Amino acid sequence: MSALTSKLAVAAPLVVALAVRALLALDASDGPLLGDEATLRRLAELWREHGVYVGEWPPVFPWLLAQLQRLAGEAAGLALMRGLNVAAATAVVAATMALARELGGRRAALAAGWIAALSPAVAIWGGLLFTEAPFVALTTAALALLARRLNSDEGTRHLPWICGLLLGAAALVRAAGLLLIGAVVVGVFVARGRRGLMRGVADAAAIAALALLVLAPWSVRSTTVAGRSKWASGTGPANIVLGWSGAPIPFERAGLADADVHGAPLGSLRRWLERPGPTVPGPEVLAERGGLAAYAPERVREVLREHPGWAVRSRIVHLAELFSPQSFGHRAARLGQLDGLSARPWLRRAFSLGGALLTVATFACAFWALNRGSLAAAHRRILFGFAAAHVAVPLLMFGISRFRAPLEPVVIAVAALLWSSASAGAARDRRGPDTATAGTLAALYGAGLLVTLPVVWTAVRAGW
Amino acid sequence: MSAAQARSLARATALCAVLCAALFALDRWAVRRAPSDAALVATVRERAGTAAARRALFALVLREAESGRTSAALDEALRTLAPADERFIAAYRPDLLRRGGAR
Repeated sequence: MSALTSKLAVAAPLVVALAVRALLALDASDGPLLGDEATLRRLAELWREHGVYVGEWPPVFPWLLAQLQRLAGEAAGLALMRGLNVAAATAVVAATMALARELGGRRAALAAGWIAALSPAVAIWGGLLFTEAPFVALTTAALALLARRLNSDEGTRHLPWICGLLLGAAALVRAAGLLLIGAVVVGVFVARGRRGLMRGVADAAAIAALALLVLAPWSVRSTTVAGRSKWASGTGPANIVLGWSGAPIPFERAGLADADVHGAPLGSLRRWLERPGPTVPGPEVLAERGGLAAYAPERVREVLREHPGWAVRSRIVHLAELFSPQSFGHRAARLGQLDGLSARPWLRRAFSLGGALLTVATFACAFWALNRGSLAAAHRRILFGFAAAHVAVPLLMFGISRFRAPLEPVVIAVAALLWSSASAGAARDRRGPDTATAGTLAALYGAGLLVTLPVVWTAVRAGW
Repeated sequence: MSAAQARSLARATALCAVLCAALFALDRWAVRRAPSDAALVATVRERAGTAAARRALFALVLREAESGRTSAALDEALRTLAPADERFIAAYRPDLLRRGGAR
């Protein structure tokens, strides 16, 4: 293959990714702002007009929007922000290709590029002005650097520092970044530590130190505002401060309750899931907004203690949403945001069903590729950790399925190893998680898919 | 454990200890630097109509949201709002103006 053809092959998925995301962004540009979009706009307005920034909501996105609106005006600033978001969503594809290249070479990179470019679960973030696109671009780029470091000691001494820098910046975009810093630091310590304790500690410390250094000014600011330690920031209290009046508890239920699911399988399960959640007492202002009181961290613990049944139900529904890759697109359509081309029923149906099938197929490929044993043990362990996190995160986090967004490119990069020329040969290293571990994870996913059937079915019946 | 391994372990432990100590010191410094609820109420009253007063007001709202309990300090701040700050609150959080004792 000539150099030019080779470059074109790499550029093709990126160009397609850019086009898909730009179309989604154009489609959404004249619709109402959805969920976090409205919150971010309000945060930017408060910052721009009154010099007030509330909560410990990570600052980068609202700050950038405020600056762009100062420069270009409110509407043009918002349009510019959408353009940057499309660029960030395309960068996710480039970073996924870089990660796959480190793991499995050029062919794997191309396969990962096409999957990421066309996957609705990844593309949707280009059309919504949410923080996922820049966050996932930063975290995936950090993981690609990490994979290079694990592959070779030569010329990679500086990479842990850059990795820490990127992860710290990611935590300034989304609060969940702090969790990822912890996971990466532990993973690097274990993987590098096998070649010598000091190697593991040095790399882990470099990542942690740089990430925390980047985070420190913001964390100090949040601590002084809140009056107590605030390294782990949260957006829930900021939502309350803004007077956000989103869905009442259990908010995850809304996606099911509003939909037409007559004749859907597992109807009795759905009815059980839809049983009303607890009424949470709180301050007057919170009580007015129903369950939003449960966003306050101390309330969350009380609710989980007092209503364990509801906690389990809400986690199950959460899982169901997890497997519906277009759940945000679904909501966007119901709220009238996607009124353009994507409002056509056949397109929505294709997006929905195709997205669900592609997600399932990607996972199947990822588990298959991991079990072929062509990866180094360090990579296998870390990737299994990410696959396990993909299952566990929505069960553990008191949030929404968006927490899985940074894990999506990892799964795609692993799935792409099936197309890697390196994986076709004999196993380099059979150590690390075995088939039983993969089987357990696959069984957990199977259970999740069973629960998600009503959601996917609903999506199809409702024209999605 | 060989001498080289022991030295490596000692260096690693020292590195982690330094990092944790720096983090802890920074955190304690930030907590000490945080104004009390009373100081925030005073800022709302004394710097009425300024961005500083509005920031202090929203800091009190945040602290209430964090705790999940009604804040007496916020109630007090709301009772002493200047007209300009009242208009600001009316634009963003009109529900706060309906709280007991507020104008």
